[in-house]
Amino acid sequence: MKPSEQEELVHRWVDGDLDPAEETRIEGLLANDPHLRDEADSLNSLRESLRSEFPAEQEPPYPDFFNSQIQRLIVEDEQTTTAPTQSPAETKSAFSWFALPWGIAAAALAGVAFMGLSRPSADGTGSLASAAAVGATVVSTTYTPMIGVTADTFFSDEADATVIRLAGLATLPSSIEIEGYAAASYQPDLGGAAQLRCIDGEILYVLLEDSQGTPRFLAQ
Amino acid sequence: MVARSLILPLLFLLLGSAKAQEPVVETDAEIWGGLLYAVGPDTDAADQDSEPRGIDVTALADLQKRLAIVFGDDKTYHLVGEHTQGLFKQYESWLVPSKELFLKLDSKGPADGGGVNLNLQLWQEKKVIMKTDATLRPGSPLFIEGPKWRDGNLVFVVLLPKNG
Repeated sequence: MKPSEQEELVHRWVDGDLDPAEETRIEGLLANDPHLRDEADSLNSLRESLRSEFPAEQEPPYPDFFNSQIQRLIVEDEQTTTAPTQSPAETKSAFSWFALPWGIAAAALAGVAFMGLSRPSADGTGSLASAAAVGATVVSTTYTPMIGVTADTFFSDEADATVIRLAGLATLPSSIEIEGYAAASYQPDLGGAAQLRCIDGEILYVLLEDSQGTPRFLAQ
Repeated sequence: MVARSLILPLLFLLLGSAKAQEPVVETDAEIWGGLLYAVGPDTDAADQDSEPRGIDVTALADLQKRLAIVFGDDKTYHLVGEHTQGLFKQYESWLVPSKELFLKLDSKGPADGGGVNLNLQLWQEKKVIMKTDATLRPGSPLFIEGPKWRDGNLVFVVLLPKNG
């Protein structure tokens, strides 16, 4: 039996997906190959720990977004990896572990960590998983590009609001006057500019983006 | 010199005439953005107070109550500026209650179960200080605590109204 066929058989054995003849065959293989036995035990152990963390059937809170991110990562991986010459069967088995239920669960565990759903905030209010559970706004990823600035994201059960606290921002000078508007919705213009108006109709300014996407406000 | 002085008026003229002809761009939702100034009650910040125009007074009061729960009830939350903006399907949208702190929004489409998926970039003048992917649910606000200013600090509120 080729190594890839053995691997597939082991995976199906871990999932309890073998017929009696295959069961007999795998037991013989495991008895004679300690390395294969170790691999099978390791897979079984991972399967059990994932099963204890996740219910048998539960979709991630935002399956479409989650699946699109997984799919994007797969495509990127396929594009950047230089694959050695493989037969179609072997190529299929290279990703077959991912398609198996416990493989998806393993990815879900990584995705949960990536999305920060399991992390409660430092002040003890609800985790973002609470937000998802009650159908509230959810923040899945946050990035602060400026050095020294960090973001703490959490869901406040009591306020029923999702919060991002930014730390490390420079204090605005007291000398500046912060002018606020009651701005109305604008439509984008053909030239890429946006004419922002007050709710009363008065033109506030024209918003243009430079070549780097940085906005410039042109006063009337 | 004469030519330069004509540029802006010409720009507005062109924008005005173009606006009359261009089709309405489709949106996935309408988003309300408010910039609030959180400051202690002893500080006179009346000049930073605006009457809400994009949401009703009751809704603003509810937001202010929630802000107090999160950021402290020893402060008053003054509405500095607001902007109600359609979230374009194809293009990025700007949510600008003030030029000092504003958002760039990029719709990722409707969310299952209601609401909208989007990417938000928080800008402070010419710098991006935060980027985030989020799913806004109707009636469920997102509070972003911003920089300190004078005796308090700025808070940006993003809300997908329940009827939006």
